[in-house]
Amino acid sequence: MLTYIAQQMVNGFVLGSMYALLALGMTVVYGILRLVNFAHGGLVTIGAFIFFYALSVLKINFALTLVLAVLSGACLGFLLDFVAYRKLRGGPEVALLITSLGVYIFIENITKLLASPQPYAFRPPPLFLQRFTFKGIIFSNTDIFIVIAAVVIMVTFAVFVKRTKLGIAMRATAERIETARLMGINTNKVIVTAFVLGSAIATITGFMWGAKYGQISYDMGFMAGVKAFVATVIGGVGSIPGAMVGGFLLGFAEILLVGALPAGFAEYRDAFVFTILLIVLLLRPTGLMGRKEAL
Amino acid sequence: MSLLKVNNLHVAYGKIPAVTDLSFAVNDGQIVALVGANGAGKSTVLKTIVGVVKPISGSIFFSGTDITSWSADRRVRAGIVLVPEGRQIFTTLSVYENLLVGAYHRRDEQLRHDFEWVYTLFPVLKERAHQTAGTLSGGEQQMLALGRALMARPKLLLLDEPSLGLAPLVVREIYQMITNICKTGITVLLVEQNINIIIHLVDYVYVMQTGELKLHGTPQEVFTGEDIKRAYLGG
Repeated sequence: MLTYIAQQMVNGFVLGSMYALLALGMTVVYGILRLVNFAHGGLVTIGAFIFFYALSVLKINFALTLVLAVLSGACLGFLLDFVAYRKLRGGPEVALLITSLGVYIFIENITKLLASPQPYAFRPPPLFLQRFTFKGIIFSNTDIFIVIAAVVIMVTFAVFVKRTKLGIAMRATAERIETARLMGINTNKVIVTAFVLGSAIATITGFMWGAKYGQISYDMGFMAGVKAFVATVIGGVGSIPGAMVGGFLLGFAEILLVGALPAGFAEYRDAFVFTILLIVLLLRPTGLMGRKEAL
Repeated sequence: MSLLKVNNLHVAYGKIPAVTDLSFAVNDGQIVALVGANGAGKSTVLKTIVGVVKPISGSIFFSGTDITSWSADRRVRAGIVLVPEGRQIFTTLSVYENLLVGAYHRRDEQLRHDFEWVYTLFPVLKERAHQTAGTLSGGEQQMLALGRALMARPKLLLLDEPSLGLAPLVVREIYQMITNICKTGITVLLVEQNINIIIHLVDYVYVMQTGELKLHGTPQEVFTGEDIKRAYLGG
């Protein structure tokens, strides 16, 4: 029984790391533009397919693939902002939101067209599939990779935002974009940076998602985007620590609910996720670590 | 010599005119005030000078250069810095980070020296350097807003109602600091509703009413007639 609980905790931690990373990527953009970027899920899909083609079709080694994927994610983030969002700066926020949905639908369909409507089996390098047993708890190198990569990325990001000049400019822009501009901050550069970082993170989560579930498909990004959104709402929309906490909580909650309930309920795990979302919205609409918006 | 020269400025928000055919100048080293009742267009003038609001027509010259087409961040780099209405400090950043953001565009070696300079002007900011700016009192926040602007090494400092929402004693303190700042060679253009505070401090006054320039002169010339006060300054 103890082993079973420990196993669930490990599973929750792994899933939580992935959700936290998803939420982080989404919240970076939200913090600055007040945009719930549904296109983020689309970038997760693209990331997963980049890894798939590079690893399984082109047979490029993992380290190089990782670099390539992160770079293309960064470029896509830049392109996304340039093509879709830049013209809407200063316009109503709802225009941005609808555009991001449009971008997601575009990405989903272009993936369906270029790849196929069928899911693909996703095979990470053999090393990732190696399994370990520690006092009866089973985990694989994929799990270790997800946790370590997520923690490294989150810590790096936290240091970047806290300590670097661009990071401070980012926080200033997130609070008052107009005033930031008055201080001589090139806010366009800050916005582009947010998209580039968010999208680079999204491609890595694409790999994690594929490696964890063993298959990828053109529409996988939808659920990824929704989970990211739910995690940010739980943690407090726009708060970076909140996104991480929200991600971990969501991961744990999902695993524990599925683990604790009778077998037949497992397929309803996403329904539980939305129930959690509704409860949080009812009891604490600003999320666990969110602040009220300043007027 | 005039540091700032505004010629035939027209500004509108959509179809609603905010500033009509406004021309004025600010001389080097002076404190100049822009006064007028609510909605006279004073803040709009400041925002147009710093470049966050684009004029329909007219031109703005700074140190003899036409800057009308310059972006806001380029104007900051040239030395035009605004302390916005309501202070607008970054409440989630620390006091130190706020000052750092003020100096964002700078790459020079003087930065450390200027931190010391601002800390000498406002010792309270040094005490609270690592506190979140949102925890400061109103007066301290106004000092931070001033300090943040000074970190940009301005040649022309624009102040939008620095007395807003502050206790009379604090207002006096703030204005004392503004006069001191001006003595270091920084030219000041300020917007103020409460003319009694500034009457003895400023060198020149422009009076605006519904977007137009109505009067200008030294404070003694402008503020003597009671009818003028009633007509343009709301009592």
